[in-house]
Amino acid sequence: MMRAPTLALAATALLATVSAGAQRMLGQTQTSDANAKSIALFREAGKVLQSPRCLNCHPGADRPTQTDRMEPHRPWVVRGIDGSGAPGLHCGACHHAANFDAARVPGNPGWRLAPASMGWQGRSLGAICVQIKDPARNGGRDMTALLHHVAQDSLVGWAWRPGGARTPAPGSQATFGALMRAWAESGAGCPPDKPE
Amino acid sequence: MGLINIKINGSSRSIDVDGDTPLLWVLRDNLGLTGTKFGCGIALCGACTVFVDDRPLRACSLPISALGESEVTTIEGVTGREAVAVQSAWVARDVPQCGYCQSGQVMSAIALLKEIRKPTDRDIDLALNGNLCRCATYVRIRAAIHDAARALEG
Amino acid sequence: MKVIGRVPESALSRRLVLAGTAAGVASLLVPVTLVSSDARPSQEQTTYDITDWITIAATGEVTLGLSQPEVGQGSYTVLPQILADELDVEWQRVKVRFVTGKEAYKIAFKNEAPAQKEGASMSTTALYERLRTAGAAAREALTRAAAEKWGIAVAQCRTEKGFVINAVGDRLSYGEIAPAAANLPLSARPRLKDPNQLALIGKPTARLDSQAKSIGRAVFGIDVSVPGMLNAAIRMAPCFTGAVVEIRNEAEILKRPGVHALVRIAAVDVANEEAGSQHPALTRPPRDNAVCVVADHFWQAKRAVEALDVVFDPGTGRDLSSAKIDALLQAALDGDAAVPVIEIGAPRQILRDKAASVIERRFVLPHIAHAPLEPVNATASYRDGAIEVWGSIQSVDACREAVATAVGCATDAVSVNVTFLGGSFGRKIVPDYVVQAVQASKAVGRPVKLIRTREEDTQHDVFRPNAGARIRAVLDEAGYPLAVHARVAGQSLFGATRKSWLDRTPEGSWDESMVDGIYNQSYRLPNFLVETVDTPLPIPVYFMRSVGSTAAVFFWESFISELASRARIDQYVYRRNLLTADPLALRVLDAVAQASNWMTPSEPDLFRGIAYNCYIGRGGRFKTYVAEVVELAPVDDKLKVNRVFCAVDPGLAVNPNTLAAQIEGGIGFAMTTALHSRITFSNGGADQSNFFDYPLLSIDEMPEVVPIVLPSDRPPQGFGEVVLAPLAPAVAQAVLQATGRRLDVMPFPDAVFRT
Repeated sequence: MMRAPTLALAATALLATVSAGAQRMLGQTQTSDANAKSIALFREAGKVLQSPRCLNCHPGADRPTQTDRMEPHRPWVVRGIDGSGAPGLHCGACHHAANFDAARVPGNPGWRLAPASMGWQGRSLGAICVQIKDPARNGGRDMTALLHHVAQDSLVGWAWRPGGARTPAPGSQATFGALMRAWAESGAGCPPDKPE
Repeated sequence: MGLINIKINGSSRSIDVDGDTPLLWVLRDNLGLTGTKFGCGIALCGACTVFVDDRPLRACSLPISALGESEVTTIEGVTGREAVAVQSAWVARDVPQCGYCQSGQVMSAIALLKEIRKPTDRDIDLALNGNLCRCATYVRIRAAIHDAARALEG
Repeated sequence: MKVIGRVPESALSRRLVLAGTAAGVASLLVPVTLVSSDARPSQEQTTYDITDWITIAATGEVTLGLSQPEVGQGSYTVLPQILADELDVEWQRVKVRFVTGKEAYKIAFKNEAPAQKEGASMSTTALYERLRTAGAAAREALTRAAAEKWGIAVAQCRTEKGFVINAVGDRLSYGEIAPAAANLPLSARPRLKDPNQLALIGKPTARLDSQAKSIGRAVFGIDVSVPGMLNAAIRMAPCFTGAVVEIRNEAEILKRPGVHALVRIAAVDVANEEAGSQHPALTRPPRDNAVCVVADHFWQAKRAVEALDVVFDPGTGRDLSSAKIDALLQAALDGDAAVPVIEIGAPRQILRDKAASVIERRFVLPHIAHAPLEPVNATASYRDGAIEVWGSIQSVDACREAVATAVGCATDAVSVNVTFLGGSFGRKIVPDYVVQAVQASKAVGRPVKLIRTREEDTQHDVFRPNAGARIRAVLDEAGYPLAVHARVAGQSLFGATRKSWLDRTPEGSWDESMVDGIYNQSYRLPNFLVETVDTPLPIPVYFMRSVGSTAAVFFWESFISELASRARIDQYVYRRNLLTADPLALRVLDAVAQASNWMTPSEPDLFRGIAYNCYIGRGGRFKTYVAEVVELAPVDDKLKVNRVFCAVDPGLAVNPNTLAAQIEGGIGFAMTTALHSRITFSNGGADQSNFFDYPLLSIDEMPEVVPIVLPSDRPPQGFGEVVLAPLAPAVAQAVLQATGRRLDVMPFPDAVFRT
């Protein structure tokens, strides 16, 4: 089983290096030093984004994966029209509003697959970064809406309360939200698009 | 434990049961409706498929406390054109062998035909692959679904 | 196919619509089970037993006795069909009732005392004549009774669907003359129908249980409810040799709502058919190896037993692991402890002389679990030293004997009520779960229904044993086998469960199931040596559908494929040339080759494999010939089994409808084994527990099946198991053709197949 990368210490250290209140808009040129810091923040956030809890429901393909080993979801379910599965076998047939550990089935009111445009499996962190900033692919969100989504959304928050024997995403939704905000404020720099 | 009211097959029932009890065991043990079967307990085999508010659901995966005002339909109470077509086709093709999985298969087939009037083989694969059959009656399940679709057309 | 006894769709639709409102289709149920919401079949009418198998009510209602548990194979339909045909009654109106307690209901598979049990694909073969005789004798008695009543000769009477009719057209229903017929002696050799008079036998006849099973009204063991019943869940020591040492929170668990009792369960000595066969570490020392909670409802019991803080001692088997099992197997294949099974010609000499051209293959197959979809369960009521049992039980007599032995009472004090079985495949012959239920009932003084969770069912299955093979051969100048040496090793099934079935020779004992399909096949082999090596293990094992042939035929047919491939001879032609002395073998082989257009080159992306086996019934009771062709096609970057042709010579197919179902289902069952099934072991117990790590085939993986049933003058041959074994080697051969890759283990690697 993978050791869950620890988020808390690294995040705290990084957040401290970013000047409070410094607002950087997307696209502004930055000093290479500041850009490096921004990228470092995203790499920390990437420990959440690329954890099994997130990747399992952000497949590029049609079928989610499951468990820490990210195996093909059994039974074979697919995204369907709106992320909630094919006729006859919707996500809601098994996944309900809350985790039900007695049946070993996780749950959340919003349970569904992310759209294909938000497919992250098999992509580099750099590619995910560009994807996540792109309103054409991130559900039409500007940065404010994106930051709100990651910090407040209930289904995103499930990653830290997955139930059963599932390894939670590193840190907490609060630290993840703060990381992402700090990343945005530092210029939202993206790592290069190559395997890490 | 506590009194919980549930709507099942068109009636209201009141049962004294722990809220964490899966709907499956409430149906079987508290209500005596044994048509819905236990196969795995972790939503992997589909033998426990019922309808909740007309949508298919694995009864082992839902604690009774989460049911609320929703209406449950089991194999014993399922009605409608699709149900008659599916069950008639099931009998005409002699689909069941041991029969243990068939309540779930029938419910999933009915659910599919309610959403897709003329399912393709791929539609059948996607809808029914969570209903396991150890006897592997899959050839006749598939044929019976196509039969039922044709009957609904005519 | 046009099916007899099919209720017209309009009538069926009406009946289904009403089913929810009416009392239900109780007439199709095995009526011994009691579910409070169902009406029991009427018991007020007077009935008359005409034979051991036929009961006729004054109203004319005919109830046919079924002695063979319905496990999905269709006994509920096929055996009554035989009776109904000779008896001459309206098929759509017959009722079926499980019967027990008479010698007539007992059959023997091999050298053993007859017992009432299902298995070994034996039901129809063993009972066909008996049932035809009973049906004919009953019809004769009814005819004689009518003739007497009319004061005319028997020759002036005929029957028609439940009536005796005389020359002037008077009719008497069977119901009217049943009382008189019941008093007449039965003919031991009644006249059986001529083949052209048969109305049901040999015709595709509708299953009697399809309706109940399609509307959720068939009652399985797990559905049983008897007055006063409590429910129980069990947790067994994970290690097979394990024992309960300590329960640390008993008082706390007993306080839970609905919980009545906590019962320590003694390890069950399950070599029910033959005491002393089991591996000693499994049964000695006598110990408690499980804890059981009895509660009002199953969910309460299950949660309670999971919350128990139990300390188990693993016992002597604690080091058992798959690595050790495999090492033992390899050592057996290479060592010199083998027992010769047959030796023809001079294989050792030839293989030594031609050592440089020896072709060798090695294979390894794991233990696998039965995994019936209905997990094992039983309802037992222990009262005043007498026991009543209800449930999914495949061998009535094995159950009675095991319970009687465990309790220390006479077998007569044990009565068994058999329901529909939600799958068995051999699992539910072993009554360990019944004895556990009896122990629980005895402890609480009330009837108890004990259900195993899927985890407990999987981890405490009685597994199909592992097997490995090492096969070596040299070819003659034409490319055909000149000398073959086949050695099979593994945990001997007979050695662990039926020692009296071992064949004993001066060189040692051997288990024919380990080489079933190798030592008794009919390929022409001038020099042939077959050996076995038993590698005993402290793992509970038992018979599973198709028994040893699931391994042996995989080894053998894969090896034949290897030889044909090396000789660069077509796989069908190769087999054909080796089977020329066996015309029935050639018949099925030719039929499947023809149906699949084998001799026509296939399309570029279609890969085919062919395999053959003659399944020989236990004790040589029957021979069923099977040949299969599989077609694989690439889907994305993997291969999918798209279609399977299956040609069979089953003798007389009593019900071609259920026979076709057995072909389809048997191929699906074999697909599961080939693609998915593996049990591994660590720390003395099984690793897998549910369908995420012990998956079953799903509908999207099921190939199309093309059955080819050859007509035959032979009597009915066994069928339930026979199509399984050739499937895997046929698939492996197709993979070899497609990729050049040899498959020598099952389950086949995921990487090759689409899942």
